[in-house]
Amino acid sequence: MIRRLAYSLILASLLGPSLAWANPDPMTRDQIVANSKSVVGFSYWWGGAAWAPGSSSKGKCTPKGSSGCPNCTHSGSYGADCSGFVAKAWQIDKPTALDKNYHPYSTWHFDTYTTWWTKPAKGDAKRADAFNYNSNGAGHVWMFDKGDPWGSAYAWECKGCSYGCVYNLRTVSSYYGLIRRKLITDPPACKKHCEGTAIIDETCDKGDCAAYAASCVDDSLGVRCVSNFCPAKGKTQVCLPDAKNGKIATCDNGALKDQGNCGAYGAWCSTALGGAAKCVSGLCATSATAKPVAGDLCYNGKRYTCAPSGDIAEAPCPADQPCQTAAGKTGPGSGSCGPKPCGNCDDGNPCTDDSCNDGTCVHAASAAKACDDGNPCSEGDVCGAGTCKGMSKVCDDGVACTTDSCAAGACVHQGDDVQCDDGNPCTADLCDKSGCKHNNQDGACDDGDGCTVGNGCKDGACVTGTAARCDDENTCTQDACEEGGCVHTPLTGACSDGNPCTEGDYCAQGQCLAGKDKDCDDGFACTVDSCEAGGCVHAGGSPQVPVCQGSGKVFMPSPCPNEPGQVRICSPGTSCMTGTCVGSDAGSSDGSGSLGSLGDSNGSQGTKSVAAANPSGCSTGSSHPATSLALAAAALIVGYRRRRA
Amino acid sequence: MNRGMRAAMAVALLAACAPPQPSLSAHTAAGPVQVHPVAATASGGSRLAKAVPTQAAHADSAAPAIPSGLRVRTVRQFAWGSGPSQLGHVHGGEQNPEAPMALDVDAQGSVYILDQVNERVLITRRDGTLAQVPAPRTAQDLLVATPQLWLLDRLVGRELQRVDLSNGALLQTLPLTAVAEPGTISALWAHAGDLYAELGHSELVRLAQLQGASRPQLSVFGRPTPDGLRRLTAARVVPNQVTVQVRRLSDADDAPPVRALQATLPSDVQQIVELAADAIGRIWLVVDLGDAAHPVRQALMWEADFSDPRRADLAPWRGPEETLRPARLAPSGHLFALGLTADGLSLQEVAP
Repeated sequence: MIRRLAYSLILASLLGPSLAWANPDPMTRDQIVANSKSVVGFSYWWGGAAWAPGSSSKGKCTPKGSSGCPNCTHSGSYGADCSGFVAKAWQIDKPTALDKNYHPYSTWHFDTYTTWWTKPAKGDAKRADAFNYNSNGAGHVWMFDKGDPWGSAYAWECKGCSYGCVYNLRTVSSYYGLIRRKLITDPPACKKHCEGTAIIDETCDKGDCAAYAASCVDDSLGVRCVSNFCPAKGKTQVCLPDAKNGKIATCDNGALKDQGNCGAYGAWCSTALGGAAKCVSGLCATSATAKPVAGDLCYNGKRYTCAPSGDIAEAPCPADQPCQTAAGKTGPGSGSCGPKPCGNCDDGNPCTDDSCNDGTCVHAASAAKACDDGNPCSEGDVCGAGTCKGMSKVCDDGVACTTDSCAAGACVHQGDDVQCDDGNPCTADLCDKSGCKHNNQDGACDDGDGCTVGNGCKDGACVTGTAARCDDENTCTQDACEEGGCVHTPLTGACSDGNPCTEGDYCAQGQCLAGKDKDCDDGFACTVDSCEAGGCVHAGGSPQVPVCQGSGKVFMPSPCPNEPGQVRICSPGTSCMTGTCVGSDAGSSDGSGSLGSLGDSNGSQGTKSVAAANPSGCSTGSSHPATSLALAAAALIVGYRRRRA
Repeated sequence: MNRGMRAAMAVALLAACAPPQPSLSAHTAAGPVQVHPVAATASGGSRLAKAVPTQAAHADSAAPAIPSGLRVRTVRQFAWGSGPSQLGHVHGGEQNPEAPMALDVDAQGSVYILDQVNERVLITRRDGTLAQVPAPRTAQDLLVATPQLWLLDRLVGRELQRVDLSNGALLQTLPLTAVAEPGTISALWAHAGDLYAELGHSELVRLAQLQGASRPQLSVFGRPTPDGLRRLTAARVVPNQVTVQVRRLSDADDAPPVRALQATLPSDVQQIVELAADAIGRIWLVVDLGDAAHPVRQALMWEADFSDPRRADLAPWRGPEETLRPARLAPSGHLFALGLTADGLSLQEVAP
């Protein structure tokens, strides 16, 4: 139960103070914006969130060095860091006075949970939402106001120690995500109205009439977009811009309807006859605003008569006297029956000789002569085949890395450093009038070997730094750097898992796995056997001193009441001395003869039970029995104290 | 504008209100399919619904990729730090991740990187040597007007500083009183010997002569081109499309554009990074595409007659660090751009 309560407390701290049974009140976006505006000018306060709107006491953050907070100090009672500001402006997790320091959430909370906020798509951002970033211990959050055409955002934010809390236009990195406060009460619906050319509808959504060549009008007919080509009221026909296309439409209280196209019938849309727009024959009008031509004209060799109304009537010429306009054209224009004139045949080209032949202008190429083609970057211009041409001015300066060109008659030689790029990051490559130069520069560089780090430029070459460190401090992997990346190859075999109370640890799939638990059973029922720091500990019972039974056996009296002791047979090559099996070399111990390991079933000793009342049957064989007994007793006492500890 | 409202307006006003433009159609037929001028139409209100798309990539499978053809070289790499050839970086804890905010290039090809974390401008000359001049910790943009340098501190000092490049001396401080909200400045811009502040990537407000003398206030909508004939604006129109609108400088601000270039990109456009024209009228656009897992930065360039669009893939900005001007068109007509990795910045040059 206690453990479950502890877990609950830890979880509560991770989730933030929401589990403290507090609730925020509903807010409007305008209320959040008002809170946000009021923080501008206050200091950045690492871990703080308190400001008194309008107060001249802003607090002060003083950086220590250039790395930013937490290497900083704050003085005064007011200021906020980024997450403190947003949580306070949002009034989460509970209503709190702005001037009361309260900092319930960090960017990690905003990133990890949705306690009092949601995570809409970034493209759905609205005023008083926030953009949050958190990764690997770094985070920032700021309040969104509106976007701009480039994808930047107007934002309120407590930026950092040097800046304090500001309102600014800032970039929106793709690393940021959108968060939105829960319990936002949208503002009441708008009254439909105009703001300049913009039209605001009942949901406060904004449209721009100007985008549709219209203006916003609010009159007795209501709020609406009125086309720039229509009167606000009434019904009439109008010509639309670019009347050559003959576009005609009906205006109905400012809205364009029933679009038609006079051009489909070879006509113009014209208002030149007064009153409403109408379709006028293209043969009888010279523009959309000119009145129809009244009189005879030619079109495709036929003679027509235009009436003042814009209508036409055909009046063919005699067969031997076709209709001809003054310019000999077939399009609209006054004409008559008779021979074809040419009109003005001058084509303005100095390299042609112009003349008229049976109503057709002839432009023959003139003889070669000097002329001007109008291009200051050409030389020796002469007429040829009816056109004036010259030779391009030669601007080559002989330097390969310059781009040579002629501008307004003068040669320009633009150096292009990119053409001098030798691919060496340790040289600064530049192009001047003598050609490419490659000057040494320092700085970081890439030596092409991903298994090195800290490479730097020296004397124009990239000098390799140090080998990349790939040691993962795992004895079950073989570590190496290959092709720019660390490779950790799993090994097999024995290892140590760091726990001395396990034996036979082994490598598997690159990890050191524990072997079996060390066996500390001493065979006595009343003792509690355990392993501590690699040694066996036997708690309980009465401390006893082992004695020798001859040279090959050790008798261990039972520490338990009414329980027989144990006889343990020394391993081959060992003999019992002062209650323990020792090696044949005098004075040396083989490890199995220590008193501390006497209770271990380590295979060096056999064990059998004998009557407890038979200790005298065991001869120690020791030449110093008193000393051996004292050592054995001391060791047992030490073990007993360790168990108690 | 909701869908129903837009449809109602469209029906009421008829598409005939925007007459076809034969010259644009002809250009469409002559030019590549994917990047083409479109009939000029006013865009609706800009909402972040369009400005920050996150849906899956909207690649137009029917549209061929914009051809590559711009040349790219890495000029230099910088590691993070405060050493003479390193750049400052703030990343960690509850604060705005920060890297160099801007760069500019002078007529000699020297690149000026605003290393505001180290309170300086780091200058990389063409011959590889480095120099530096001091800058405010909260500077966010810069503009080189040799032999001087303008520094923009829009948030804290709310002022401009004019610095002598020969010795780093502060020559002038110009409060940003001509701008109601300096935090909305999106760029410093030079045109015809004057210094402008661009607000929200749209309106430019004249602040002073480049040499510091005062000038009457003047407002221009869009970025003027060096020849003084045109001005440019750009916008994201759908998740994977951007449009560049070209207007005559002499036209009224609300005049329809004389040309609208539209580019369909292979994935969602996160943001437009830079827009400028060079001395001979080529139009350059830099965009960030993709998402955090696969960030892409592309430079696009149209010739002066709006034809022959070409592309280059640049080192992307792999991180949440804020920037303001990470790419800039040099007087030479080459583009310079910064790319970000966990280890530092790379400086790249793009040429036609």
